[in-house]
Amino acid sequence: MKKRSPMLTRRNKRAAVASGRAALVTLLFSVGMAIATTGHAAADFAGAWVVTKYSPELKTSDGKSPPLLPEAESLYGQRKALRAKGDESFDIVASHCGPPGMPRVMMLPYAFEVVQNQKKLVFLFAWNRLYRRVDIDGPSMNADDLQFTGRAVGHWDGDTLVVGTTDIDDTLLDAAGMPHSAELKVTERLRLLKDGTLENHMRFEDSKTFSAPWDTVVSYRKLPRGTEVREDICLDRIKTTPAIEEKKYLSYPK
Amino acid sequence: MALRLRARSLLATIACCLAAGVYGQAQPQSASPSQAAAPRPDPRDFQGMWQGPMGDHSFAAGFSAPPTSGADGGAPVGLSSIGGPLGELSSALKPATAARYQRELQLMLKGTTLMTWHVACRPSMPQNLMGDDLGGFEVVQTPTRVLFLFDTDNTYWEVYLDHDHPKNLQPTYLGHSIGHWEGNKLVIDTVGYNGRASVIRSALPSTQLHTVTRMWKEDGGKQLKYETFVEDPVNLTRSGSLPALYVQWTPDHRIYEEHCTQSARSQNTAGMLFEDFTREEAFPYVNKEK
Repeated sequence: MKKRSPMLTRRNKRAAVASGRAALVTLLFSVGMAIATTGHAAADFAGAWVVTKYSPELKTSDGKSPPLLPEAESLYGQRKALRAKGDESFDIVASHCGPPGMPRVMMLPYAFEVVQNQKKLVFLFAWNRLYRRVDIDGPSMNADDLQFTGRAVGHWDGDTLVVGTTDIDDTLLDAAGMPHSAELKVTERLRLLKDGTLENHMRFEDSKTFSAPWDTVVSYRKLPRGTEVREDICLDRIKTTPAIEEKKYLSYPK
Repeated sequence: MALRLRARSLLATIACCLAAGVYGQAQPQSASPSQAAAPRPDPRDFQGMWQGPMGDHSFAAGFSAPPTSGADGGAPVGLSSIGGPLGELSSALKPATAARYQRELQLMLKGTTLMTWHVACRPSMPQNLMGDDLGGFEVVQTPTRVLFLFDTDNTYWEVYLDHDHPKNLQPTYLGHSIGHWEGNKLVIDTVGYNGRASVIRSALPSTQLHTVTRMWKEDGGKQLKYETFVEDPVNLTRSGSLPALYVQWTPDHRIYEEHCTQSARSQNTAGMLFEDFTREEAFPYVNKEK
């Protein structure tokens, strides 16, 4: 058996020690970065997601119609009747690829990516390259007037991200034309379930539109690791396809 | 309204630049009160709110005084969303692109806007949006991503730090961007453009566009500078860099969503010239508008 050179052994030892140190530093750095960028209490929602099902009509978590006040109920009924006839002119999304706003953007049948750090959680949507940002533990950095995605502030409640969104511009809550007022507040509770599903429990409060607060649940499945969310520009295809393709969510990889 | 503002800004930009004679690099502006807060000390941490220097857009919208010439005689304008100064690349335009550039300027002088995909509410190049002084943007970073979140169109630029360009890349408006650090400069390599947007003003459609944008902080972190190297054999006789530009750290800026599609209607395009594509291609809902 060939005898090892002492120099080589020393060099290897030095290399091994250096390598070990580097690994330790890398590990500490990674842990530090993880703490710094995700927060010790945060769950990791990073990745690409898509809704598990889509409905053009928003329902409560037990499948009922939301408790609309009479005036809102009447308007909603008129819009549903128009939509049944193929007239979606009341909906800027369907007719002009306009912004869906909150909370509709969170229910689109298109993929989105979540990017998060300690202070921000950002939803990057495929549909028209829109984004939505949540300021965590801080004031909203959105302008203090009505915005389509509103002003969203979040905090961690254990491994659940609680996001309160207010100041939502004049949008529709669903494709069928459910209205809301400027008083709408949407509170989301986002958490990972054991099966890997991301659950979004939403509470709607708007005393000018609804007779009582109500809840619904939207679920998202994670797309395979490495899936990149690709832009889907509505205006480039609206001539031949609906602005919102209802079955789109079924086309993403399992 | 958004569409009109977009077209008006385009007109103001070109008129302003023509008046100044040549395109020049934006000059530093005096600091606003918002600059009093301390910027992040880490030179690799770009996070926060940024905004282009006051210039043509805010002037066009009546938000600021008329722009004045820069020290080099160039126009100290915030960059238009249709493309900024060309610098050394102005002598590298291929004849067809140079002709188009001149034609676009002449049309502007006559008060006519040449319809572009940008004006037609399609995604804009982030390197151009960054200089938009009417809007601003926020940078959000993680170990694997750098995000640029723009007011304009509520759109984003995502830079991947953890992987390469994918094989069989499908072309998109903004292409596919990967980044790495060279010292304290973020180097962003972008390919896969669909040819409908360009960092080169008046460019002809080119899917061969390749950009490398270098970005770094200066002035104690109060400025974010960026310089874009461009390769485009369709529009340029040689590759080269656009002038280095900057945006200002504006911690009190608040994101205000501006959606071109919100109120864009084909009737708002009266007076605009459709040469590269039809009105119906630009606004496919034109026949069912009410």
